[in-house]
Amino acid sequence: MKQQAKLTPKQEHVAAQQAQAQATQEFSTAEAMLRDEAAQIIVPPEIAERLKKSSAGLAPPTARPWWRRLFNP
Amino acid sequence: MQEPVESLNAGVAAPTDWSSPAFASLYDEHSRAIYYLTLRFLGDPQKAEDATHDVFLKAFRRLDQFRGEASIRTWLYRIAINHCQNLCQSWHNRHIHANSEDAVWESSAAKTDSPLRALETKELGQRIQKTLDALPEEYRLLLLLVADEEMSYEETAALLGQSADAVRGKLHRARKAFAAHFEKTV
Repeated sequence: MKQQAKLTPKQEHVAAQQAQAQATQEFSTAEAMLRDEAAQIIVPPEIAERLKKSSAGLAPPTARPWWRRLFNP
Repeated sequence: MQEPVESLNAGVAAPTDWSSPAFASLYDEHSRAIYYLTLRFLGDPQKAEDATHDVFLKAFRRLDQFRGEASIRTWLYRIAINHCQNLCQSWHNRHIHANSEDAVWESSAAKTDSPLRALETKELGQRIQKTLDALPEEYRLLLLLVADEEMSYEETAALLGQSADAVRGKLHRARKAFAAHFEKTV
């Protein structure tokens, strides 16, 4: 069985550059980059769990809507 | 079947507990945007988790005060921004930027006209954070809000207390500053 030829340092460098180019993303603006990142963000599920516990001890809001306070003082 | 979020507009009684379908729906729809804003504003996942929790808890408690003059998203952003700014003030970790730094960023326009290139790795998040941390708070917020496609220039301007034209002008400078600093994070 023929042994695979070892890459020279120059070839390794070229291969690394090619791999890097394939994995590179381009964004035309800062907000496009942020938008892309935001779309991939996973909200920690712990937040919803904590909210359930935190709100359990809270009394429901008692104030009336602003328009009711305005028209029916 | 879940109650539509539109039912949370002004004049409708607020949900009385967290398990209300209306509030759960509101959380599902907006939690990612609020978490992302707090994450990149505060720069710390744990602080962002705490802040997102606090923002939605405040929203839950104040839902009856929502007037419907702005979108729910804008209202939640306002609570989140106020909350983050209060945290930053209390931590005494505000970043103060000298005008000279702005000048450096803005003078490097030629270099920043090229597209922003980044490796598709988790390092991207770190580079984004470093870049945002280096920007004035106004630019940071502006970019984060404009990145949200659900936000119009008018809504962003209202949140920042500026005119839509001023936002457009500042956005141009914020983009340049971001691009210039992003290049330095390699």
